[in-house]
Amino acid sequence: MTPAIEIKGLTKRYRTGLRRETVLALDHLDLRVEPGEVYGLLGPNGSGKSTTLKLALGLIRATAGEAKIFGKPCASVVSRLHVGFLPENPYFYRFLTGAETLMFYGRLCGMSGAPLSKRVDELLQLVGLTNAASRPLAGYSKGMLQRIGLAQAMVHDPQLLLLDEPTAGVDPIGSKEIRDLIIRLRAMGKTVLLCSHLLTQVQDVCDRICILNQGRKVREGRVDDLLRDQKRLCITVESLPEAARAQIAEWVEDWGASVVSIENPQTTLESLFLDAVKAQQPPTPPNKP
Amino acid sequence: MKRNWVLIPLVLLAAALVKMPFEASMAADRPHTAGVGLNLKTREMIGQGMSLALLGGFRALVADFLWISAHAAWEQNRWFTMRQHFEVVTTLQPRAILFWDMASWHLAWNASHAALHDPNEPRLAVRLRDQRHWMRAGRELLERGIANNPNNAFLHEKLAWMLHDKFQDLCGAADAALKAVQLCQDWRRGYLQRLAGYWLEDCARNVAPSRLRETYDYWRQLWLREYAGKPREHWDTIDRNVSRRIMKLEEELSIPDLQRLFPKPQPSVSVPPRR
Amino acid sequence: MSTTPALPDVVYFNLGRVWTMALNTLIEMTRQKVFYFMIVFALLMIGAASFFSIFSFGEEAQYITQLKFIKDTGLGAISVFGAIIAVVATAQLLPAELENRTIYTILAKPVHRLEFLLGKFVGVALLLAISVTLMGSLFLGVVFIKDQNLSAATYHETIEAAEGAVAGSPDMKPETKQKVLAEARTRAEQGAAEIHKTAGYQDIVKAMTTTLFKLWLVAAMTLMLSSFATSMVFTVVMSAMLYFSGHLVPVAQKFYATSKAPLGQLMAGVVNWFLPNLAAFDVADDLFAGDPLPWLKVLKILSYGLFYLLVTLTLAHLIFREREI
Ligand SMILES: Nc1ncnc2c1ncn2[C@@H]1O[C@H](COP(=O)(O)OP(=O)(O)OP(=O)(O)O)[C@@H](O)[C@H]1O
Ligand SMILES: [Mg+2]
Repeated sequence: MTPAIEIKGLTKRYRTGLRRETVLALDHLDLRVEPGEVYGLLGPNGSGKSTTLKLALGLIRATAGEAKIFGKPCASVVSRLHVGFLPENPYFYRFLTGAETLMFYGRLCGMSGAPLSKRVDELLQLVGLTNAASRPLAGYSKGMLQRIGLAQAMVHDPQLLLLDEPTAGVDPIGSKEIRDLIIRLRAMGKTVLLCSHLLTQVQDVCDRICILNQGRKVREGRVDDLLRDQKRLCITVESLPEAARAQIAEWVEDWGASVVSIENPQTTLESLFLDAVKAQQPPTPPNKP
Repeated sequence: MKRNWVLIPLVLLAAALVKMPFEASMAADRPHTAGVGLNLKTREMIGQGMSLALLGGFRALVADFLWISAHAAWEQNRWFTMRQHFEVVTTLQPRAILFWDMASWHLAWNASHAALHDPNEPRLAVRLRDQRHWMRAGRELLERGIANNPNNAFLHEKLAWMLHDKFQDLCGAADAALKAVQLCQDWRRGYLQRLAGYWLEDCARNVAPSRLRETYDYWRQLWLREYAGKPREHWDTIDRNVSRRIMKLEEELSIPDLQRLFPKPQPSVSVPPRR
Repeated sequence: MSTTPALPDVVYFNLGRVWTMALNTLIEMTRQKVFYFMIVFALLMIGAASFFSIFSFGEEAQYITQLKFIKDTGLGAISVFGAIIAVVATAQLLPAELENRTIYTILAKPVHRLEFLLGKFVGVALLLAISVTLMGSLFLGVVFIKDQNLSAATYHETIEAAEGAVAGSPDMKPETKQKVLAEARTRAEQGAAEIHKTAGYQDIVKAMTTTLFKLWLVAAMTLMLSSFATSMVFTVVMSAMLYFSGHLVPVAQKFYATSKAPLGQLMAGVVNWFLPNLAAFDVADDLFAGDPLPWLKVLKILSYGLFYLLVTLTLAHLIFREREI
């Protein structure tokens, strides 16, 4: 099956300033997102997440390597027919109302007339902005802008959604709603690529994740697999008497193993993330050509 | 990116190749735009071009306001200020006929008159010299106006009047008037044709006798074109005046009878002597 | 369950998307109160009409001066306000898109960059067309009122003078009186007609049409500059320079042909070969000087404008499609 996103050896070197200094934002990245999965792109600030998305959308050109969406090269307009994009900190035309904004993007996608108005109402409902539909975006809060951005990305009902920090600035309830929405999208067979810092959220919704650091992929895999610590074992038991604990510890030591802790141990995505990033310290200075 | 290093120069080059003949054809439609194609001094052209570029659309409006200032200067007899304003105004709007006409008239008539009657200057020689100075200034300005608007009959006519009235240059006036006739297309043409004829004749009789023949040819052509064919009974003052002049010239130049417009009455017919 | 959409091979250029972009751009600019210019223009026109009528030049054909001044004010203001709108409004289009990152969401849709760019241009072009039409109508109205006033005054003066003369000579034969009055009427009509002719409505419309095309070209040049510029100040300064040099093309041509200085020749050559001749669109002075310019020749000027629009927008497209956003 054609992957939803296929990235091979993708490299991006930004030129900065008048001197020929460059920043290596992305370094030979390989990535493959299958149709129907929710894929999380994680990484510290400046690790190249947004750069990856922009490359995949043809907004910037790769220094080397290629990216394809549904098998079409990302420079072609065809590749964007079934993509919805929510940029980080989205910001729209301040003078348009919420409904007008969605109408505008819908028309750009070739929609019109009654189907478009119907779709717009649907989306406003979906992101919870029906009451603010006729207010200009100039008066929207950050979270509301994020929601309208999400609606805008979905206006033409695309198969693939690229979401750059979809929950930034959204309150916890809204953030939960967005997570539920993503899960619903997956149920509908859509593919989602999402970038985030909010690790617990990613943990909740993503099938697979990839951790980027300084433009390089440092971990990739199924969330479950990555979080499972192969060397450690966690036995969850119920109503074990206090005396039995000491016995079990002895028994374990007899086997040559050691008890690390007896409280409810938890490897979280958070620590995994930190481990992965710390392994690469200290950060290398900006690359020179 | 690399493609553009080829494509952009290519587009520019193609544009340049189309542009040149296109512009040449447009310039041929409008020979006087911004002085191109005229024999203006380069400095004058650059001045006009700069004013066009810098003041853009407000060029004409700035000229109008300076014109008002020039007018104020005239009312207060500040002649040098007035002249300076005229220079700028005509540079700003070299195609405004009104400006050339009025400005040259102010200089050659009003300023020169004021110089001749300057109450603060007792020496007549100086006043006469100043009078000539302003007249020349007016003439130079008008001639520049003609250089900028070579096809304008009105300015040529104005020059004719100026040469005739202020400089007593009968031949110059005649030539300017002839030029005006050539260019004039509207109802003034009839009057200009006769004016040119009178002045040409004045020139030939008073200054350059060698031009008498030219005068005759001029009247003759004019007669054939405009007046011939009208039965004598219907002649008005103008017809009689012109025909009399032609007859007189035919006599003076001893034009052979057969070529005359108004042949002498045949000697066989006996005319009773007048008493 | 999960689906891979069936995608076509190409997405064709679509005028509908250009139009969507254009209307959006137009709305954006109108909400930025660009039309406040119109109020200034209206005040200027009314001011000019009344100011120049109280000003007396002591000339015999005063109507020439009065109409000239009003026309100069109107056409001048249209051309200057138009140029300011064309440069300033256009120069901020792309920077605003980039700064607000609205361009990301638009270009992430199936939209060609050419559609985006043309949409922006058509938006500005519409704005300019609306502005010039509004200002032009107001302007023509003022000229019309002035024309009516002046010609009516001339007409009545002539008739009244004749009637006075007739009344002042009681021993005039009735037939002669009739004849004098009839002649006066003809003269009065001629005088009024002469004033209508001086008002030159057709010439004004011709001048405004060529001005509009010039403004479109200026806007396209500004858009071309901003398609690679990183700062708006750069775009505005460079557009202003192109605007001025464009008007100097005829001078550069002459200079190129006659000058001996190599550096001057080089500069003149560059201007001559690569800049559109903006002076070609300034037809008002020639028209008012009495040089006729039939519509066919006006059409030639307009097609020159279209030709350069095509060149400029092609360059803008070539640059913009390579631009990193
Ligand atoms: N337009 C640009 N010009 C120069 N350098 C850039 C540009 N955009 C991004 N970079 C650099 O590329 C690197 C990757 O940036 P990117 O925006 O992809 O990071 P990110 O992972 O999205 O970070 P964040 O979590 O803060 O959004 C950074 O070092 C950044 O400074
Ligand atoms: Mg980012």
